[in-house]
Amino acid sequence: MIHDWDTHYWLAELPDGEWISAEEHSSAEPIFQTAKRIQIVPISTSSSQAILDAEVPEGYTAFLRTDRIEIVMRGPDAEQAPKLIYVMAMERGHWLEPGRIALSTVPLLDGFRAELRIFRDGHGEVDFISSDNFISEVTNMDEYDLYRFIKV
Amino acid sequence: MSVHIRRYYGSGPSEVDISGGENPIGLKLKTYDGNSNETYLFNATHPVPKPTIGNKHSFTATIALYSDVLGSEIYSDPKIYSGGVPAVPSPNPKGYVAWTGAQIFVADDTNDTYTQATGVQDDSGTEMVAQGLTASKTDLLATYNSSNMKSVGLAGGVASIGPLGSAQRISKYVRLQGTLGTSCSPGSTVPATIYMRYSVTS
Repeated sequence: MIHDWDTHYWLAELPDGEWISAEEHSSAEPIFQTAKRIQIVPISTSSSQAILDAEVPEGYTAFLRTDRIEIVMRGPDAEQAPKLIYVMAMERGHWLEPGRIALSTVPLLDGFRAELRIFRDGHGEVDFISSDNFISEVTNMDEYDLYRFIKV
Repeated sequence: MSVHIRRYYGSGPSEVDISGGENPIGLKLKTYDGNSNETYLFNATHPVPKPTIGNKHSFTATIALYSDVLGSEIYSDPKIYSGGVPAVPSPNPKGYVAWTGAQIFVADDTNDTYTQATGVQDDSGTEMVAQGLTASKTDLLATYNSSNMKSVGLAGGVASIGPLGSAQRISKYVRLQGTLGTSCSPGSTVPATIYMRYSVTS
């Protein structure tokens, strides 16, 4: 599902080469778990122009989340915090319903966690942590920055 | 349709959205808790007095995440954290005072049972451990930040909730209390920032 406040959405490439997206599917659906490649891409040219991309290696499970931040008490620094965080995660192993798993309960043993943080002024920042066998590469294209997360 | 933070107050409890809309109410800590908007309105009524000995407390505030987004989202991993102890700005046209001698505590225990805060109106709330709302508490601004968030837990203690069939509270109740010591300065402390973060599968 894509919300009117979303700045990015996910795409997934299936084994037959077909692409599905958040427009028609939830990442909780079983079809998402068959994907061999996933991406988080901008909705429009006014979104932060960053693409997150990863192949899903055999034996790994992909997790996608959108983390939202609500303000309980608003100090001056509140405007400098991210409003949305698109989370792409990968971990070796099989989870029956990965869309229903609390990601905090999945230890980072063999995989990665990448976050695209969208701030209130619209700019984005990418953060990446991994076990030793995944790396992050960024390529500055003409129109966007491509962040690739690669198993090594 | 949104996910927002609700404050629960009074004997019912009554509840109010404090994070949504164009002008969110936010969280005001007072020495009052009743079935009236006086509990949460962002004004100067029912302040916590500066103690001459020991501590004075606000009445404990109870908040939780609430969703009325139906049929599409799965929620997990609700957390609370702060922007840290804010420094006095320079210049300081509003005359804010530093947080010396002032703290906001978060209850270490979260649960699904609402209990109205007790205390002496316009004097001091009952300290949250003494009231039995939690076994222990933590200084929120000094401890929890974006690198060290406090897990709150989902309503019912499940790993995920949703898609929802009807609107409901989705996190456990979180309790917050302001506490003043004798070293605090009279006045309004620099506004602090407190966040709640949660994950959505959609």
